Amino acid sequence: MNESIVYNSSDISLYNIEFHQKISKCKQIVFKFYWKPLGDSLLALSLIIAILDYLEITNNTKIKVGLDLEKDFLVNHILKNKNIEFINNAIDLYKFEEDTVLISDMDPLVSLCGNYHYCTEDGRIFPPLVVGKNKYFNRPSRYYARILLELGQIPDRIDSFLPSINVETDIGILEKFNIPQNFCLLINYSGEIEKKYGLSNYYRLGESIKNTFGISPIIITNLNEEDPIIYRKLIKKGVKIISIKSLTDLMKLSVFAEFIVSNDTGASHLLSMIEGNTNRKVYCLSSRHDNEKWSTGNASQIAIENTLSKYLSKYHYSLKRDKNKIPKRIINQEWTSDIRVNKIINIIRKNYESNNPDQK
Amino acid sequence: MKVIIPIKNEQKNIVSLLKSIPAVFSIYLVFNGTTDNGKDKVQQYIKENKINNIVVLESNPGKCNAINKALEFILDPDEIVLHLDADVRLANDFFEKFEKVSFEKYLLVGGLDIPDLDKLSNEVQTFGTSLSIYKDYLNFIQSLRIARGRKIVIGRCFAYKRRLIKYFPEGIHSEDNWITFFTAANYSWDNVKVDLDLKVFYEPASNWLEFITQKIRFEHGYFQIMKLYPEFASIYESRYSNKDIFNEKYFRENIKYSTDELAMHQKIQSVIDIIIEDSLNSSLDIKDIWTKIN
Repeated sequence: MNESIVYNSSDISLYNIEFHQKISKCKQIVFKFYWKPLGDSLLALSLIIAILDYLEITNNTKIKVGLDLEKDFLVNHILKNKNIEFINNAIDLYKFEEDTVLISDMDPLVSLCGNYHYCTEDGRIFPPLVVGKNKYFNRPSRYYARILLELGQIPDRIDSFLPSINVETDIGILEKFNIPQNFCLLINYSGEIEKKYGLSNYYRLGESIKNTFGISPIIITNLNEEDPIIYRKLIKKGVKIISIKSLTDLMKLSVFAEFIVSNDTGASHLLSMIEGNTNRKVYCLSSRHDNEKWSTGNASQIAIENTLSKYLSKYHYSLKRDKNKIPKRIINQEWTSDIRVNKIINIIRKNYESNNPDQK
Repeated sequence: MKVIIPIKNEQKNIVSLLKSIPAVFSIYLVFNGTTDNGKDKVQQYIKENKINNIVVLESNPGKCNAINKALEFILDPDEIVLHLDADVRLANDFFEKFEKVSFEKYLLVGGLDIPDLDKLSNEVQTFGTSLSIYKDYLNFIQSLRIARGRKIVIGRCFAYKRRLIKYFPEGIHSEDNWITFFTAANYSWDNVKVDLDLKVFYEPASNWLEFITQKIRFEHGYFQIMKLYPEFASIYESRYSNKDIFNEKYFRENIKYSTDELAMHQKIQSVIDIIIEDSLNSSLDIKDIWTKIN
């Protein structure tokens, strides 16, 4: 009976001997992403780069790789110079070929393999999920740096290990959305409720930004996710709320922004990866990660922590892995909307005034 | 403050319920699998009266789906969320009493549901018994429930701080049991309160078949939750035998039956118990139950 292995992209570690051995000997790797490559899945893509480079340098071998997301703009961009075979239904490679490693984001398959051996109908056994033990090395973006350091190669860009994205400067984007010159973006995307700061809170933050820095706040959201009652009230007050679904539009717009405040979501990772945005701070309202962990070494990313993220940072806990060790009163502080407006303003002020001495 | 009302084919009552809720509340009315024209009726009411504190939403069938749809929009963890069933009538002093509830002390607060006996007309099919016996029986059940003490909040009316839960689990049939046990397991029973002053009136089942169907649904939902929280199984087991919390004085004061009538009620109860047990032990169809009763 063949034994193959399933890994969750956010939990594996190259320091894990089992994973290391398996991936060094395998004939092919299959990446299967069920989510859109934003957020953690976006970070997982940097893991692909890391693994391919690692294998090329150490083994001098090119492994056949299958990836399902052929048409996706981000995937194509990040992996454009890599020797990857884009195939539909890549998961079939894993199902029917031996010596294959499957790496996937949070999908039902990985969930099934989470805690026990799972035997499929065709007799294949999925062993329990391997969980990284090191403090930070379970973040995919860290692998790349770690591998390069291990091999004595210091990365060119020491500020960030994430790939960068070029965005063309298009002044027309401001006219398209009728946006004034001096503005900041407040981004309220998020699928998870505890990560959402919410329209009301962003309105209060926006008013405070306007009064403190004289900058017009623009709230970006997906209207399908917003409370119509609050939306109607804010529109009546003259608040600028724009519903943007195109990531390209969002990236183009961000280039002109003074700074960006965002929920802890894929959009914030994406915007801080834009080349030329190194001086443009992306403030992320983070409920689970401290600044060091979230920013992945990128100076333009600043995580504004809440009670839970501070606690996790202090004890080096992971919310998922160490949930039983964390007091309930702390877990209860997971909501990003608990972060006070004054706290955000103070952090913005500290960074904004150092970049703009005239504003002091 | 926010009110969530899942709604499915309750059009005749809904507008009067909406009228009784003060304008300071934002109301999330979630239609789930509705087949009548209730939605049009509500939207007409909103349009005609230029009401801006009601959001009409639509979700997949299922009460929990409907509730979760509304919870997606309630982001403030300190917001008080009140759940109401679409077919209830609120007591006149409901919101006066609701304001007095301490959500600092209690994380979850349930109300008291009272059968609205005036709603029962003479046309009600009372399965061979007279209307007065059916009404008496409902009173009897109600008195018994209060006398035994209440631990679990009722789905018809409960409230909590948004921070307590993120969402209800998918596929749960009995959200009131789940949230009660969730609170007790993650915090304590001291954080759960059933407030008898928060009165809501509901239209009772209009015949025995409907009545028993409702009871069976409740029992099935209860067992589903018990699997999730087996540590609270004793609550179920002690429902009919717990002498410690039985308030005999209250019970005697509220029971007005003669011995014969009481025997009749007990007989009805025992029949219902057998039917419920049968349906839980096998996949008994509701039509079979009907046949069995007859």
